[in-house]
Amino acid sequence: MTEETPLIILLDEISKTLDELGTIETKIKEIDVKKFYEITNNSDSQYQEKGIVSPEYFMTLLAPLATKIFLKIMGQENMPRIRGVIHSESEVNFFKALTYDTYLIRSQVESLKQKTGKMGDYLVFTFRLSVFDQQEEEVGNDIHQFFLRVKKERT
Amino acid sequence: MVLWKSVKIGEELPPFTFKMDSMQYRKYNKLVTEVNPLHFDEKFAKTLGYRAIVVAGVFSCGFLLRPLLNWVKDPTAIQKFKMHFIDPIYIEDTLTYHAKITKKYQKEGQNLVECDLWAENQAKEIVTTGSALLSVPS
Repeated sequence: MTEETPLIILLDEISKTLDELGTIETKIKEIDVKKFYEITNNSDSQYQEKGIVSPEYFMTLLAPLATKIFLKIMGQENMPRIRGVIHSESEVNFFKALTYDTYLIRSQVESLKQKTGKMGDYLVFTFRLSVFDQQEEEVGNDIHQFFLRVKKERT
Repeated sequence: MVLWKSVKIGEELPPFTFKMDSMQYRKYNKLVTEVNPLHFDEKFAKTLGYRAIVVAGVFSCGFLLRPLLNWVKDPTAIQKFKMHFIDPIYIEDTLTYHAKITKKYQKEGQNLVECDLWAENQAKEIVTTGSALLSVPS
């Protein structure tokens, strides 16, 4: 990012893009959850009998949307060239158990900061994905922080 | 199911070990439609200075809950968990996930338990740390 590019413009662009994304509907499919259990060596017995989905699946459910958000933000006019993306930390809050149901997901930018480290310039981007049930009750949320390594511009 | 009276501060729960098998991880990438080449393109990962494909945080951190879930035997008990990715987890690494009870208290009618979480690779390096908050019955 050049000094002439104010971070606030980029933040505004990203916020608008996420607003445009709006609410995304997603259905938890049994076939996907079974595949997830198989890949992660998870016995589903304790979930099956209660008709709920393991909390371990929560971030996997949101991963395709997180990807979609990334592709959108990378395309922003004022986004510098990014060399790599590193997932640095996450926080997950559970309010209700996930079931095989259709959920509404909304995204929101929490913060965007510019930093310089050992490996050069990077942006610290934090966003929240909130999951609601059909009754608009929040089931959980997932706050992710990513480091976006900025590619040095050749002069 | 774990009851409040049986929760012991300082107790370390049985760990959970998982190998980041490349075949299984490929299936996971397909499941989540992964697009970040860091998670499937070794050449790309190496250009960024990593020694191999880096396993995505959304995949590796779910296992942080496994020792807790195996112990508490109630998937609805977990209220919150936080994780911090310290070092990359590479494909074919074997991770051991640990959990230790650090605090227990009652608040607003709930019996709450706090735990420290961490994951070590095969070289005994801590690659991820975290914490969790659980609610258990009386």
